[in-house]
Amino acid sequence: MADSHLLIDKHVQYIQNLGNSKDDLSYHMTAHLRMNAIYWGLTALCIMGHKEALDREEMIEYVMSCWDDEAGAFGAHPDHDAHILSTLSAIQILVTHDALDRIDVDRVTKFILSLQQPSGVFAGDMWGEIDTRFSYIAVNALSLLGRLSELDVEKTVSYIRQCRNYDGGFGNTAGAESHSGQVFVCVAALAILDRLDEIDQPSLCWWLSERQLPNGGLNGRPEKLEDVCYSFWVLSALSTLGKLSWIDSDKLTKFILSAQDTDRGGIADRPGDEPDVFHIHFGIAGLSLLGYPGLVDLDPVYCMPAPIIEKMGLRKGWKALPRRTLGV
Amino acid sequence: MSSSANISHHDVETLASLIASQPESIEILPGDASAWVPPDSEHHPYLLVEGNLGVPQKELYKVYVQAVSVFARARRSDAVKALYSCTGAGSRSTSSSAITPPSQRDTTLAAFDAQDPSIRTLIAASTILALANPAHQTALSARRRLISSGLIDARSELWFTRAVLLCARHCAKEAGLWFHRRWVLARVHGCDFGEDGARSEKMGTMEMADVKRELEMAGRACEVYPRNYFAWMHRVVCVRLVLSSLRAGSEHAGGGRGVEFVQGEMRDVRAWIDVHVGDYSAVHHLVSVLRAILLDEGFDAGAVEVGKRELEMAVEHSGGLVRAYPGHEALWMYVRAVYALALEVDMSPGSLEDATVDLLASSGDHSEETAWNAGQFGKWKEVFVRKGGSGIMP
Repeated sequence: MADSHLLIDKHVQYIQNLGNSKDDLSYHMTAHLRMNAIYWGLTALCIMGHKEALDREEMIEYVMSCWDDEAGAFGAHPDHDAHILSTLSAIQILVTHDALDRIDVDRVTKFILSLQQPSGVFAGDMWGEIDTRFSYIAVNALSLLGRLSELDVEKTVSYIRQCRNYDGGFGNTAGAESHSGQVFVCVAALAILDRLDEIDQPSLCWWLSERQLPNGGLNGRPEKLEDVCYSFWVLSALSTLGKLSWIDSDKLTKFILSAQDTDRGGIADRPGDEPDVFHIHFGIAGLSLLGYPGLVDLDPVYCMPAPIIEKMGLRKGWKALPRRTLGV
Repeated sequence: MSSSANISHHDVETLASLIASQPESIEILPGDASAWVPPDSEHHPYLLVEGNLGVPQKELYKVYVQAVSVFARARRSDAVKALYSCTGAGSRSTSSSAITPPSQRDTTLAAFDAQDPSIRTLIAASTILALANPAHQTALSARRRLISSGLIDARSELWFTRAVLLCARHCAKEAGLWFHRRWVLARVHGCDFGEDGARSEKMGTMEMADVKRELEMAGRACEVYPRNYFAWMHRVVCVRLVLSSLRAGSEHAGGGRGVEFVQGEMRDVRAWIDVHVGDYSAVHHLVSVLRAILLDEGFDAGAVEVGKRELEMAVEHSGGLVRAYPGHEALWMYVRAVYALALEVDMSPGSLEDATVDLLASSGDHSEETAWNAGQFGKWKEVFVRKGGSGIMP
């Protein structure tokens, strides 16, 4: 199954084929995250240098068909309720396609800001589920929309501070266990807000480096299995904090490549499992940060192509590994 | 065409009614009916044995696909559109803590007809969507609207969420489903979990027995899906509800029961760790609760004393476990966390020091994992304890 290099053409084809299985059960079972899935597929294509592999107009049309006019935001699928998760993915897709003018920025800004709770955390939608993921999403989205100045930064940061644990890591809510995914969102949100001083960097980077297992893969929490998606979340935080060297990058690169499906294309959570677009996206993102040859730079704070974020003047002080040339 | 529409409708309603009869449990069975259900049995393709409902996965997915279009059709009906406009953003229905007495309820809500066919299919379809795919936010939101308007009974939704959470691995770990349960709990018990940080004047609470039921449920969900992040989160949210009553000046202060509760919870989590020695989530929970009592402001002296006693027990417990199972990273991190907390509250790490010194000295005789864990602990001590390299350490 494994191969020693990235099978870009196969992965591009895998992503292109995703829309062809509309009658499959899995298509129905994932409708609630379709907008996210399109963002994952598009970003992976961009990093692999094949943005044109999916039709731009069709994609923009799909995004707009998910507009929930009552809420002033986007759902994951037509007839699905608006949510902050799908709203960010919609914004990221439109930004990537240089089509942000299609959005009613005022209304979307209003929707996002309305989700901030008294404690400073953000809810996912009007029903009130809270999670530091949603704080990051709000900060990221407002930043891409050019409306970050309307955010109460102190309030937002104060809740993230409450989620900092004794091990230096972050959980999804105050008192919750440190988790690599939650570390990513808290660090990235603090990076956008220029508040990395809130992080206990020695403890956190130590905790992050302990995510690497003997097989080279990274896990999300102590004594859990390795999973390709943590290649991004852990690396993003380390790259933002300038400590990418604390991970063995050769071993991690080999691990990600070994999780490829060499027949059908795609990347799975670990070698031998079923691939999916989520793991392709985060595997490619991780490889880009590790300097894998032939890939486009990825901004680890926004998890989008770096050139786009730079052009918008939003780049923060992160450091990826230098891009190796082919054959090295 | 209409007959196939009726068939899909029927399948959705059939399974939904079986579920609505509140069987003892629901289990999703691998494969299809042929593996589990005799063709002539009463509820074919489902199995109902001594009140336990078994739903073959392939049958569930067939009905799921039908439920998707049934749900979409119901959403477009006038009755459901009216329901949605009365339960939209800004209405009192979204806040879980707003238990609105009947006299103050929006009278248009009371006018919804539970027998309206579109309302019935919304209820049935959302039941199937939530069971097979509890990540389906829109289905859960529909149910919240139905609960807000009294068209689904909140207590029966407590039954339903428990049944779904415990029926399969992918259900037990679903964040949105745990949140949905807390939303319903808040309405049923008139309490406020305080997750949004709002300073409610009257922060209600749950009865101790109800809290314990939630902790037991979280534990069961962790058996279904080990290291269940959202089950542990649910557990800590419920514990914090009780902890708030330990704070001096709380209108619920009645110190004795709160203290008993904390001791009971610490005992239960230590017992859990004893049989789940790699479970760092349990370790984090235990340490988190201790840290809250010992380091947060506002706890009365009695509570802090209990906290110190519990910390001493954690020192013994972690030391003993790491000697017995030195290959488990989670236990070394238990030692680190307890060690660090002891130093923070000016207690000596005492016996922990001995346990770790012995292990460090003998690590060469143990497995690779033990040698690695011991080495990491040694480095951690150097950097974070001796040299004070961390902002958190004294």
